[in-house]
Amino acid sequence: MKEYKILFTGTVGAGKTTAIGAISETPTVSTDVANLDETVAKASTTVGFDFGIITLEGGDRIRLFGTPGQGRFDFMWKILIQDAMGLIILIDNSRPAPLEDLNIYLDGFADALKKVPCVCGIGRTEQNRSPSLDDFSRHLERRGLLLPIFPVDVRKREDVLLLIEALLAQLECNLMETE
Amino acid sequence: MKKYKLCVASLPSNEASLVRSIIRLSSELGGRWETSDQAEDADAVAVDVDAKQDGTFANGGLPLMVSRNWREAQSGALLARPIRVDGLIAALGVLEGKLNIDSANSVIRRAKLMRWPVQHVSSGSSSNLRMATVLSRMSCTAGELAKRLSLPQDACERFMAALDQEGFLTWEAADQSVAEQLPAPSPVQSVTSPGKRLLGAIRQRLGFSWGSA
Repeated sequence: MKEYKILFTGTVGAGKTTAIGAISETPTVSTDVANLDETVAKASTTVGFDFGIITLEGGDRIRLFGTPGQGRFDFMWKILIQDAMGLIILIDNSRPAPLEDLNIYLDGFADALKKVPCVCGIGRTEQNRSPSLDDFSRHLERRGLLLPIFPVDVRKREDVLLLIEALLAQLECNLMETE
Repeated sequence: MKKYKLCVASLPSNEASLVRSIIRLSSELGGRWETSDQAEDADAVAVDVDAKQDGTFANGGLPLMVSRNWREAQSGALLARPIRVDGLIAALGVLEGKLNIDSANSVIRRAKLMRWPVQHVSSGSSSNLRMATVLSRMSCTAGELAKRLSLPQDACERFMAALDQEGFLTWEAADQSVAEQLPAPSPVQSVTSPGKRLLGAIRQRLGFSWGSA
């Protein structure tokens, strides 16, 4: 039996725990504690990591990890990204500076982005239209990156699956390049 | 005199008849063009960009993109609806130039994505997602894209034309002989490759409709 890993990261409140719960076949194992950050309207926040599982035919498993969102936990990001098959960055567009938020994760995972497939999911875009998805796309272009970007409602399983699908499409490309 | 063939099989019958008539009667074209219903031996293939049906032009020549969305003033091998004599003649002129260049230099062009085309890749189209992903990673002709993803070539041509119209693509010349050597995905390889098996297993488990082999 082999195990693979997909990592969810992103801002506090972007919905990493919810996204993992939307596709995990087991209840999410969570290390949440009471949220003391008054800028984020949520009762608890992740300080360790979240964990979910998808079991494949034959017994292989995809482990779904969610990182803590706060930058002070970036030492855990480097540990969790090791051997990951994909990285999903979730950004909350209702926060004051979503593009700067994105920069935190692009910088924090800069080494990994050179080889690990990555996709960006932008949440709460309907209520907060600026920056637009195209602004995110151009922002990435200015940074020399070309990553798939999607609007996402992490409560919807199909939205989370689309992010996974985008990772798989990149893995498919990796196979084309090596075959 | 070199004669060129334009396949009009994808167009509605009234438009196909109109194109046939213009080509037959136009003195400006000087008899250099004729129409065909077979894409395989055509130098150029009219591609109905507005139609949603799967394409049947996998072996066709250069695409002549026909759409009601093109502006009259647009240049290139684009034909605006409703089809007009001057528009068709101009588009065929562009095609003729490309065919002459390709014939002389054996050069075709590959495209690569410059930034993610948010509006073109929605949850409703796995094909668009896969095409955009490949184009984000490597330069391709429409034919190469079609072979890599086992998709109809005209679907790839339509997608790339739409991206090109909005400035998402950057182009580079490619050696045609190399481009034509790209093998189609092998079913045997798909079965035996551990990587493809893993992707297939994940897709199957999550209920994705595409490429579970």
